[in-house]
Amino acid sequence: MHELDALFKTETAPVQGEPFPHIVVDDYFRADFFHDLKEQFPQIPANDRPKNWARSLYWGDSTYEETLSARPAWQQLFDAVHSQAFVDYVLRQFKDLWHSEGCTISLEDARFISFCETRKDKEQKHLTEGEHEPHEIWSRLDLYQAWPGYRRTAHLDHRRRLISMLVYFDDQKEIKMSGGELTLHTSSLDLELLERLGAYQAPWALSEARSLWSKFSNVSNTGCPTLWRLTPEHCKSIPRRKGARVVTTLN
Amino acid sequence: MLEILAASYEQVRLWIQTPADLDYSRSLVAGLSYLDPSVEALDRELANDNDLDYVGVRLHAGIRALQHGRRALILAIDNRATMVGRDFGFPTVPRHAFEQISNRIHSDPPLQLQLPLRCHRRMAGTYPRPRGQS
Repeated sequence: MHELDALFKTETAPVQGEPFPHIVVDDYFRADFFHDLKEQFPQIPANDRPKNWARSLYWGDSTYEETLSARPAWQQLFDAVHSQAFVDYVLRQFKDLWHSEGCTISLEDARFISFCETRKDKEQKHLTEGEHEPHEIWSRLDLYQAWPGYRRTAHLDHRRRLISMLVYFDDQKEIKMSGGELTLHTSSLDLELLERLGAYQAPWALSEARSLWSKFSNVSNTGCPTLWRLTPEHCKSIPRRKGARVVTTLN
Repeated sequence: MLEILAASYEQVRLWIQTPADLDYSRSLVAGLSYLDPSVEALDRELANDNDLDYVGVRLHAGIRALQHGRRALILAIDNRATMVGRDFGFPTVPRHAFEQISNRIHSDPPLQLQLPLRCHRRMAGTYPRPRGQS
């Protein structure tokens, strides 16, 4: 049994809806633990990923386990998130949301399994190995290190993720960094398209177009013309209480 | 969905869209009544029955119900319905969120659409009026 409370806050927080469901918790990590993680953050060697991407270290990489075993705080965090206790904590926090979004598996049966999603699998729509039941949940703890020139286009998290947590160890003001802000995008056509295609990262052209589009302030989404006469006065006349009969359609 | 409607309403009327809908719906639940497969039939029903709701997957049937002053709940099956729900406050629920569907049918939340009406007024003259609107 992991003592998660010794490392970070495990009380549930209210889920906020925009731009997508999330929670915000100040001082999430216990101060001394956060300090240790920061002190022990490894230098991550360059790999064969694009130069403007952050350097990354994933479980399954040849130096991952060695790196963590030499850094007790990181090993402690790895053990904590790879545990049934962590799955239970995440369920406590988000199960009502998932139920409301149409989750059909029995969340009470969700159980942690130890599974290493390889670097190759991470970027693929489907896992090449390992078949899991819908209620079998696994975790991954990735380390990233960005250097000047780092830039990413808008991207989606992978479809296999139930939640993601990002922890930044640099204070933008403290190190006088220019740029580097995290931008959360609302759901939009290009991101929906990525999801449907099972893709992860928007092409540059699409991201540039999004950036350009955001500069227009005089454009309004008018919707379909059939909506145009649904004025507030008209809407007030629509009954709020259930009728006796219903008309319906099939898909 | 049909089971929820059958349990919630005195009568469930199906506006069929394809010939296959008829047999398919009969295999799902008994006791449905049927509208003719025409827009005119839907308009007639919405115009004449003051105690009628619309609950279904057809986005524009839901909009039409609202135009006729009927209560509507659109079951989102695609991005269009999801986005009009999110952007404009349309009454939409994911089609498989059965508990939410039932809760919405039996609750009476206010209809609070947030439509860009000023823009609509400016553009309204450029399109013909929707059918069924005088």
